[in-house]
Amino acid sequence: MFDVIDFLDRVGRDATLRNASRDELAVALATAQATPVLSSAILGKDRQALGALLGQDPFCCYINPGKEDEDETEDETEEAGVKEDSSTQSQQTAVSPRILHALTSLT
Amino acid sequence: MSSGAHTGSLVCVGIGMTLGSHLGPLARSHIEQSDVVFAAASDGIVELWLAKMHADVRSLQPHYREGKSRMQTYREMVEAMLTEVRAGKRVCGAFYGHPGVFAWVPHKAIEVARSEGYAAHMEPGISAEDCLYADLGIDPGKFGCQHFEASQLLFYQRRIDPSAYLVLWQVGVVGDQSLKRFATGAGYRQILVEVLARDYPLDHQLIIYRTATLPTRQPQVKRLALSALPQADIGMEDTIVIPPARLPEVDSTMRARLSALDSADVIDG
Repeated sequence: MFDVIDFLDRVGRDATLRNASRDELAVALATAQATPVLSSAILGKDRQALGALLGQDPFCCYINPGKEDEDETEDETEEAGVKEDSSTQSQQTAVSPRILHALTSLT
Repeated sequence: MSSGAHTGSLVCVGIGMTLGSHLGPLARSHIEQSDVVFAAASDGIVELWLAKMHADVRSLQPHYREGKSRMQTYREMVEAMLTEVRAGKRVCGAFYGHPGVFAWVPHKAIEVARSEGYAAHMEPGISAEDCLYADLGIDPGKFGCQHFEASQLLFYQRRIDPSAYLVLWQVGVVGDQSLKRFATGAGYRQILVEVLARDYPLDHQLIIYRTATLPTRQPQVKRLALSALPQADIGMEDTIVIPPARLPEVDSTMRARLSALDSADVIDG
């Protein structure tokens, strides 16, 4: 029975299949006895369609914030129970303890 | 397993960008030998592939929700992994690409685990950065290469060197101060263009690059002028590459000082 994940894994590992033409890939799919629907999604290079066939919704793949140090500073301040005015906060943001620590550890 | 008082451990491995092509033998071994695997994959198909390597692969994807701060999401991901570490398990975090490149969660999880006395380390993987060097024919050693999370150019006053490559990450959510959105629109990218226009002409050609995550696909490379960036279709997986706009300036003063040292070396020698 055709296993689409095993097939993709094989394509990913195989120097010939990885850069195969559409026709070559069609032959490989036929040889592996892929179903017409899965073959069509793979040959159509439609990742979302293939994912939908496999019951997978689109993923979010962001794992990095753009301003972590401000959040960390705010958290640390909240945890310490310290209230600051806005001018003090902006100074702390400019050179946060975490950044100072990171810079110090580089030297 | 750790021989210390704390038996739990954590390893964060990179699974690379392309299913089947990039996973290294050591990362695969960590996935296979751990007690539990937490997966942060680029898409659900890659996650299904990981699930074939271990009976207990737990997706970190359900932690995301539009309207919820991604910082909260990231902290929950760290906590999910640490909970199992504290329970004495060998935990593997399997992250797409390289687990240490533009990835807050693995770094934080390792930091927290170590602070609590657990063994924790990272195994590198092939990142989108590595792929773009290959696919776009860029050598970062030629002119230098700067990498920024795109929003940082708007949130902070950063200095760009337009004589080096500039790579911008997460442009799809550029300018999102709330961290609660999965996409920002043309108005946000227009502000990014205004910042970039301080150092680049508006007709400077950029590259929108997307690595192939499935091995049946090829990388996507689109070229456009800086001025066209607001109207461009930019998704979560896209990275913007900005080639140098000018050659580096010769530093005559430093060259003269180096020449003086060279001459002194010849005399001393």
